Amino acid sequence: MRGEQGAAGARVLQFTNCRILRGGKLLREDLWVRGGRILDPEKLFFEERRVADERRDCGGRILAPGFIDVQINGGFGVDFSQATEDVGSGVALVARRILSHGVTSFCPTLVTSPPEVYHKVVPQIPVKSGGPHGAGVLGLHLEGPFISREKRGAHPEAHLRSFEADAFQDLLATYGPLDNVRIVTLAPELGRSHEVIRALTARGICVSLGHSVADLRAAEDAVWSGATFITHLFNAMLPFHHRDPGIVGLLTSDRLPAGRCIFYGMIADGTHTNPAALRIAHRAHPQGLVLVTDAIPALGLGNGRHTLGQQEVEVDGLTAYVAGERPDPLGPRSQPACQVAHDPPRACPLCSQGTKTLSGSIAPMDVCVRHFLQATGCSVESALEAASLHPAQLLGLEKSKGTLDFGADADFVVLDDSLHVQATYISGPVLAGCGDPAWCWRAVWEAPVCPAHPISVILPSSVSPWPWHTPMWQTRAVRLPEQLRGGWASGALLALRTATVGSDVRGWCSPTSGVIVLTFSPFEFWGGWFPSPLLTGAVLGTGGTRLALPLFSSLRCKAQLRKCLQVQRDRMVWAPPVGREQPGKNHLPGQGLA
Amino acid sequence: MRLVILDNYDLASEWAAKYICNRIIQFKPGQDRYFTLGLPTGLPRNHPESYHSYMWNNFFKHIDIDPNNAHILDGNAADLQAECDAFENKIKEAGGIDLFVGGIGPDGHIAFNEPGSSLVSRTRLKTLAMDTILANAKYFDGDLSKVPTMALTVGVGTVMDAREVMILITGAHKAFALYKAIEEGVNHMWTVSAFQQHPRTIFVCDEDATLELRVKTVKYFKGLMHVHNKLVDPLFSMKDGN
Repeated sequence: MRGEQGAAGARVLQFTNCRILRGGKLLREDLWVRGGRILDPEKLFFEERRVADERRDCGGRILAPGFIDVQINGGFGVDFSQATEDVGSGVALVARRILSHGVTSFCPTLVTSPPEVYHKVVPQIPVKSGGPHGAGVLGLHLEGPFISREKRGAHPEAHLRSFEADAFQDLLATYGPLDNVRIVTLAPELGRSHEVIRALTARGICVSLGHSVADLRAAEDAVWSGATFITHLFNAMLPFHHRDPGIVGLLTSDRLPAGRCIFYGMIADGTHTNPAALRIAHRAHPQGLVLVTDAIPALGLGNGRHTLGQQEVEVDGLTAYVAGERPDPLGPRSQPACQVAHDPPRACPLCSQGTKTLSGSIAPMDVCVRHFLQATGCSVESALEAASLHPAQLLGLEKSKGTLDFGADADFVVLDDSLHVQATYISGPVLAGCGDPAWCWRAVWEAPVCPAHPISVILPSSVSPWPWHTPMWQTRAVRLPEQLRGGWASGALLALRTATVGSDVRGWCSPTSGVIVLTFSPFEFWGGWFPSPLLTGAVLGTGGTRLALPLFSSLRCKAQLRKCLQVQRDRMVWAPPVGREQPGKNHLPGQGLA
Repeated sequence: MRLVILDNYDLASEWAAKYICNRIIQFKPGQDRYFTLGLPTGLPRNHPESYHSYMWNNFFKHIDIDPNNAHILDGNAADLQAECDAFENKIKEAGGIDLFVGGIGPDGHIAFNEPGSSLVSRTRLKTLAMDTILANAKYFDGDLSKVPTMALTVGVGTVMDAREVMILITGAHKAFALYKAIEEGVNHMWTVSAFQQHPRTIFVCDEDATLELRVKTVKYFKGLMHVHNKLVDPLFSMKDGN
């Protein structure tokens, strides 16, 4: 566990030249850390008369508390709701990979499953603190099976249950021992739900309302019984109606217990909620907004079919739907339902090959934060607090998590101004007699390449072009060299820029296999369409990472590329994979890499 | 005495800061140290208004001073007189103060040496005048009962022993005190006037603080600004290995 003040001999780290999120504001202050906790420098100065043992320059970046994800069903191929023999290693894999999204603590979520699955899986996922091995597990979130049939969404109907017969005993029989459980989502209109809610709250488990057709009155009564959270607002509940707002009305209800703040999860991936609805919720009750990912196992993988619990889902771009029957793959574009001609691979709900039922999301947490910031136009501080402080307040952990106040756990992320994650810090356990505490103090994930040193990746030169008469999209696949594969954030769309105007490049990256798939739009020139490999190159970036890809081997193009992109072709720069330090070097990008 | 008149508060602060910087560089500090001021007594150290917090937030946290070299009078000490004597001893051990930086109050006091303080006084416990309490009330949410009534302070004599003294005066409410300090005689009712007898004093003020001075005085010292500005010419930095 983390060291107490008794770790007075431990090293003191000072992060300078940064803006930290404290008290709801971004202050130009230094962050001091010792023994896994945030330290008060004034006490250190006057009482202990010590200075920092190590200073790290953050390059003017933002230091925010680590994000907390209270609803994540899996990721990177791991499904928490699958009863495998070794659930622990799946959780550990996800815990490690989400560090790159800035998540330092999370609640693995189990969807509606048969009781055997709960009995097998729940005891295998204990509460665990984070460290260099991965984000911390705060406890399980059990979403279902005590939910409404009409609003089950992607949850399988066969395994829905009720607790009419024995109330809390029914729940215990379904889930098994509740030691590792932190949040339970249920529908309050089910019979005897109030007894169950009270019993759960008495055990310190947070009760959430979701997948329900409850009206406002039932929801308010549930809050009086102890419910404090709403699972993915707007989704899987009755829509807002002006005479009966339903669960959505809890945001502004005046019949709640005094002083109680109702929290609500929102999936800000641009699909689950229209940005206008996101804004309405945010403006109505900003202090209760909790950003969640509701990520499914397909997070970090590519398009295609994946499982979620007992269901199959289909992923296309940033959206995931319940998989339906597969029509002829060559046919869908001519479906009459979709009148808009558009290019693949943009996800179109009408052209989707499956159903229209959303099934979780594959937007990573940092993408959600950025989208939330951009959609609501709120301040950076609000967006960051929605992902860190509010989930901590929901779980009653705001003294130690979700905050950079003195004495809190030192879990934080380093972000640039556009809120891309540059590094994630979780303090490792300070072991008694640990020979070198320095290993406890390093970023557990960093953007792999320093933005000041783009890399040249040489591709085989492309096909020589000739004018075509119809616009045609071209696809190229690139396999990254071995040393660049580790650390790519996710399979989401990368931000691309091209060296010449008039062309549009979209890319998608699979972090596991190191393959980047690029799709180029053609451009029109002299009455013909040229495929864009004519371009001198493309710059791929995600967050702070940039790769320059010269696509052509003609000398003129290389010279142009060098001029446009200032790439030094012969200079390969790479960062060591996570877990291996370079001695004597700082661990923040921009420092000492070359 | 040098009287440096700048246009406004920001410029005066900047000038003073540059001057101190230059003096430190010229001094070539090695083992020598500088001392800062006294503090109000009776508050716990972590009270946001204590002098410790004030000095930390406004000064110490921005510089790389060794904490062992920062000495602040502790208002919570058991024996306050012993604390004051110990402070005087620390000054002696450090070889005396090289540059004393202070401000003045509207009643002309330096540090907390209220009107009537002896001009040869040393570090001691001092009762505060009503004016000072009113002036400090803004740091205590305007509640007069919360403002401390006693303070540990360096004495006028202690400050006179410093090799150089710099006084910062800004704002129209200090204008009368400045007038009394430099244009009238030495008087224990305006304790700052004691520095007329100090070999190296420098007063840094803004335009508003000169409102009560004679035009002749102001013009005279403004005419010397070109000489004064040489004092703040950027010197080589200490990092260049001097």
